[in-house]
Amino acid sequence: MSGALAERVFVTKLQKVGFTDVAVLDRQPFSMAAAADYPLFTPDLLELMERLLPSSAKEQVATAVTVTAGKPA
Amino acid sequence: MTRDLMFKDEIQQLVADAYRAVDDPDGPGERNYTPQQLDQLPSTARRWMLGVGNPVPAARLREGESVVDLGCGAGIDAQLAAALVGSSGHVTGVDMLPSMLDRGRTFARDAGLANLTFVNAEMEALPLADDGVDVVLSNGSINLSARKSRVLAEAFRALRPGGRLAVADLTIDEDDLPSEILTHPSAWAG
Repeated sequence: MSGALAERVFVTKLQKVGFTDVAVLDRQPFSMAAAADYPLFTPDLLELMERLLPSSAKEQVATAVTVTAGKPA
Repeated sequence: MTRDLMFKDEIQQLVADAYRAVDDPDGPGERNYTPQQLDQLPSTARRWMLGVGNPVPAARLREGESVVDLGCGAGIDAQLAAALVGSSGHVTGVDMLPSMLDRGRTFARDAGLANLTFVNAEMEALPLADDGVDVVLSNGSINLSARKSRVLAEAFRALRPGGRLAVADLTIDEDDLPSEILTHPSAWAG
């Protein structure tokens, strides 16, 4: 999650390497509860999130996006 | 305060160690898939759904196409893609962890998929020819790379002109998360 980009930065990076027709097809909130289901989020990280994030932020600690793009013909 | 991780090799090692340590996940990514997709997979494979979305439908795969799945893990999306491109197509799953690739090979064999191979490589340096594949997929892996521009450049290089990219991944607004969370080592792998 720490390596995740902002959506606009991700789209810009795609365009910079040459992709066209970049489209964000879907955005789904990725909550702290969802993160807790993944074994990669360790208990101490989840405890930190529980302690530091306000309730509203726990509902969406990140966004899962689906992005498509094309290489020009 | 936790020391920040500034070096790409250090981040890559941390991510590799974290995924290597995953023993028996309970399919946290299963919620992203349709019942029809889940029915295509061995139950043992479903436990290894660690992605964050469902990029395969977005790729609009056709029979006979060649596909590469970047950071494929246990090959969940690669399997779904292999079923769609059929015996005249081919899917290559790429991952840096041999243990994940071994699971993918087992699951593909259990599913009877002969058009799916797995390659041990980094997605920042794909062992693929230029302009060779029809579609590049990825699910929850690009955010784990410390060299995302390099990954995207490699995907672009490997695609044929007119080829397509379909990616599911996490995005964040850094302003929304405290630095203590962003700099926590586990937050790089999770």
